[in-house]
Amino acid sequence: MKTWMGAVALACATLSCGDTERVEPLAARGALLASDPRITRSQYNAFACLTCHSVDDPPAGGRVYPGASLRGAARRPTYWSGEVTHLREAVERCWTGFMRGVATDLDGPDGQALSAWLDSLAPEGSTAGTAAVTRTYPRVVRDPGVGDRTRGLAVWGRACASCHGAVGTGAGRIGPLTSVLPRDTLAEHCDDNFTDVGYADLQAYLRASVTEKTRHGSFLGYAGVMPPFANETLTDDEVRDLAALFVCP
Amino acid sequence: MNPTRRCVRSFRLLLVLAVGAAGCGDEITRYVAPDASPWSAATSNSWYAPDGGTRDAWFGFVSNSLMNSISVLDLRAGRTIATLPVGVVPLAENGPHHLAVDRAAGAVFTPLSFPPASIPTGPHAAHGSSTRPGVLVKRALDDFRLLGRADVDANPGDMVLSPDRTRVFVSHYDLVRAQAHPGDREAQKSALVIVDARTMQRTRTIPVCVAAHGMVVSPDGNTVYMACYGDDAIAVVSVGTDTPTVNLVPVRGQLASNPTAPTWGPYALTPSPDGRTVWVSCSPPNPSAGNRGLFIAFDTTTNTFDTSRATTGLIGTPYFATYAADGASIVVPLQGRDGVARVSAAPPFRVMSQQAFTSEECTLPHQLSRGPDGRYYLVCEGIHDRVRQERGWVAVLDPDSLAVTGRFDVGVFPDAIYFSQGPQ
Repeated sequence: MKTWMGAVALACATLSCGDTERVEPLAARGALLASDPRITRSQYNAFACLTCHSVDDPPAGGRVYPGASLRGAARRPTYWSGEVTHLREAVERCWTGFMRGVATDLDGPDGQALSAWLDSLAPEGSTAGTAAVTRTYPRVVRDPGVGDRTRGLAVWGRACASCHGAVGTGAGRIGPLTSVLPRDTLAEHCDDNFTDVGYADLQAYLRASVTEKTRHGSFLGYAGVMPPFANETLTDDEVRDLAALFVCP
Repeated sequence: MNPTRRCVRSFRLLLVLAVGAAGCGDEITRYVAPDASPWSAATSNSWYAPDGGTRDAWFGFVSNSLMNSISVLDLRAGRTIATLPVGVVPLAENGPHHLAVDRAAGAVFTPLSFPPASIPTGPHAAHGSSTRPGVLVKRALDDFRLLGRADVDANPGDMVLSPDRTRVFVSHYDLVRAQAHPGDREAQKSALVIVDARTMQRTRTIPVCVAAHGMVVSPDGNTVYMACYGDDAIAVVSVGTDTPTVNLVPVRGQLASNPTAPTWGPYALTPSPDGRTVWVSCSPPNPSAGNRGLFIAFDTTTNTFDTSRATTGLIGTPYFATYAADGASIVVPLQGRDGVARVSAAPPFRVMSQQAFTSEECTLPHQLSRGPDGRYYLVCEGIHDRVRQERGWVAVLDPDSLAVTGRFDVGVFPDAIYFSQGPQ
């Protein structure tokens, strides 16, 4: 009897029992996942799609995102400044490079939902956001010079705070592994032998390092999972002012 | 009690007993998937326009080793029609180095070598990337989407497909490894890596010799010949069994005493159409009157060098050559004094002609291939040094006079060309 009841219970589990069913497009689930860093199933990941991308262009509130707007992205001819010709590969770069995910998961249910959501942001008949987006990342970075700390704080608020939280304390940062700045950078760099890499003084080396991290993110020799900020998202002046927040004691 | 009510009761029981917190009356969301397959919206980004009447047209594919891209040349139209990205690491110099196309499989293969930046990109880039493992990528022939990738060793050099297209052979021109292990010949050896072309699984790693570069695969696919730059030798690698063997045959009597400064520096290989000869182009690091630009035949039937078919009398350093259509001669690109030579393929061996190029005709000729239209296509590296990085080009040569008759502009530091018809 118990076996019979269990079988019936399992067989009926998918049937209604007074529940109400709501039917939604898969894109709606993708929209939920786009805000959820758990999507990649990595315990170390703190990024969601919407951490680095907006769906508006320009982004609301003057916020600076390292990634391009996702509005229309599914129908762009290229991604990553022409480095990629296919949407899935473009997403895979974020998925594995920043979000610590496994590429094959993009072919699973969550990946399908994400794809459907991106498609929904690029409806047929609309050309909004469908042109290739140019992002310029200077290959060689150097000391940007001395900037303005007050302006740097404003840049921080628009570009950095959403991930790194408050200056100095990291309050509100997106994850426990995310650096508390400038504290962690100073701890890692203020004892470096800066002359080995061609710098005459420590502060210039530190400013160059901050610029390098901002412009190259985790690429071109710098570690971590931070995405890079291109010239089109942060100007050289803004990066210089940002670097003014980092001063060795 | 009707069946539905029984189900509901049982279901409720299950929920109460097993699930506890979850109860009936909840709102359940069912998501409806669109008809389109995932990630499909952007699959039309193809360089190829089959409705343009070009289904059987031939194209040249050129690896741009300092531009993360492959250029597509429309041979009939006489122009470069696309420059397609092939890198997998953002922002970095991915260094696509040589390439092959398997039209039937709809795939393009290229190894990424990740050369170190010629200029440090920032304070932390001083760590360098020259020891970064290479990656063999497989991309779709039609839109270059990523189909697969396999990790290979650092500094992949040449790559070739097996005749049956089931395996990809990758050599490693790993001078860093040679320099890192002075006096330890085994540790200095680079490997021949074999990758399954379909699954992109790395199936075999065979330590072969120091800084191997050019490769030729025998027509039966069982033997790989490799130019062992640091050893002054040719490696004959048996890959047809589960226990591969490696036989090093010195170019001139003995292996190099110092693998980081070989005397001859075998670099590029060119197969004869019948597979009985592999021509070896040497690029010595310290050329002198006695060792400048050796071009010599290797007899694959005896696994010996044929000194009766050899010359050091070329006006430049020989690179990747090609056979003439009639099989009677070989046309050899030359660097140093940039030019091209024609040598006889059969005894009596002789240098039949040599001619220099102006810098406008061809700067740094790297590889010469005979195209499906009978013309020669010469990959010209162009200028690429620490100060200037300019686009190279492919010069078109008349098959008889070897005069430059046309040109396709490509990317920075092109190093190989491969011909194929468009996607099927």
